[in-house]
Amino acid sequence: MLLVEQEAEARPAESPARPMALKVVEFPTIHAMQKRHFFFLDVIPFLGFLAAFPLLARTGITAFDWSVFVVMWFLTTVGIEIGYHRYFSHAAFKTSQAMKGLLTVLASVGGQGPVISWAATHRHHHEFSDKPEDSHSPHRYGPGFVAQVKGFFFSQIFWKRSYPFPNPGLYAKGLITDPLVTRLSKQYYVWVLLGLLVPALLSFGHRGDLRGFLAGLALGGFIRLFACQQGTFLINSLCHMFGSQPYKKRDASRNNFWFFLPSLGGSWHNNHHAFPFSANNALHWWQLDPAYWVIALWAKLGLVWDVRTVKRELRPMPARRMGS
Amino acid sequence: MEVAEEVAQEVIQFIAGFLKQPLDKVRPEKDLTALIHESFVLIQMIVELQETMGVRLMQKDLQNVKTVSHLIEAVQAKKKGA
Repeated sequence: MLLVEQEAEARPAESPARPMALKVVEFPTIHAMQKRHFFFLDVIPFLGFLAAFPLLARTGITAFDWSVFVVMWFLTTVGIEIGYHRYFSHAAFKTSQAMKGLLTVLASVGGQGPVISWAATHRHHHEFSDKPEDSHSPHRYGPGFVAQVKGFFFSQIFWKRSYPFPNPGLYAKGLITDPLVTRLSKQYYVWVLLGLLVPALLSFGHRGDLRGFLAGLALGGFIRLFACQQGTFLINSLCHMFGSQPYKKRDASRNNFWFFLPSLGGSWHNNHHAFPFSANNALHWWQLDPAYWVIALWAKLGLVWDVRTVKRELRPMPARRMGS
Repeated sequence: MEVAEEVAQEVIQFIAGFLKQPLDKVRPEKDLTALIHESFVLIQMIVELQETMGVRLMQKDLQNVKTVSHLIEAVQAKKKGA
C-alpha cells in the first residue's frame, strides 16, 4: 500500500484504477516536525556559531583544536557530498554494508536531516529543479533584485522551516526498506549530538581542562556544523544563481570554480545536473573534484565498486559550443 | 467491548509495537511529535498502520491528526465508512 495515495478524483483520467503515490506529503504534524528540526539544527547551530567566537577568545585555540576542526569538517563534508549526495541520492557507485553505515553516520553528523529525508528531497529537487514544485529554488519569487535576494535566503536556509515533504515511499523506496539505513536514520539526533561531543571530548583529553572542552565544542562542534551546513546550502542557492552554465538545461544550475574546495567538488553543479548519476562532477582537467578523488581512492582500495562516470565520447556538447 | 474501543486499542498497540515503546507511554492525548522525531518515521508508521488496520488514509484524512487520539479517530472514521 502506498502512502499517501492521491485522491481518486485527482488522478489522471488514463489511470483511474491504479493507486498513485503522492509526490509530496503535507499535513500539520509533518510541518511541526520540520519546524522543530529547523529550530534545533538550523537556529541553534547559528546561535552556537555566533557564541563560539567570544568563547574561543577566552579559551584560546591550540593547533590540536584546529586539527580536530579540519578532520571533523572533512569527514562531515565527505559524508554529505559522497554519502548522502552521490551514493544515497544518485547511486553513483556501489559499496558494502559497513561503508554504507559509515557514510550514513558521517553525514548525519552534519545535521541536515536523516538520509531518507535528505535523499527523497534531493531526488524531488532534480525532478522539479527551479520549477514551482522545487523545495528550495532561489527563483521562487521571480526575477528582480529584491525577489532574488529573498530567493537567495529562502533557498539558503528558510525553506527548511516548512516544506512539502517528498514522499519517501516514492522517492526513497530503496532506502526506507533498507534495515541498516532505517535503523541509523532513526538514531539521527544521537549522531548529531555525538558530532558536537566528540571534538569537545578530544580537546578536553588533550588539554585536560574545561577550557579544552569548550574550545572543542565551539570549534569542532558548532563552527564546523554551521560551516558544513551553509557550505551545502550554498549549492542550493548560489549554484542556482551565479556561475557558468555550459550545459543549458531546463534548470538554473551553475558551475562555480571558487567554491570547489569547501563543497569538495559539489560546486560543479551544472555538470552534476547534466549527469546526475556520475560519481565525478569534473568534466575537464581543470575542474577539480576532491570528492571524486576520494571515491577513486576508495575504488582502488576495493571499498567501493561499479563507480559510474561519464565517458568522454558520450558527453553531449555543451550548449554554448553548439551555438544555442 | 465496542468496535470503536477495539479499534482504539488496536491502534495504540500497533503504535507501541512500531515505536518499541511501553503501552502506557502511548496515551491517546499524546502528541505524535512527542513520540516520533522524524517525518519519514511518521509516514512509515502510517503506511504500516494502514496495512494492519485494513484502511486507506488519504492526505485529507490526516489534516487534523496531531495526537494519537486524532489518528485513532481517523482510522475509526475509515472503518465506519468501509
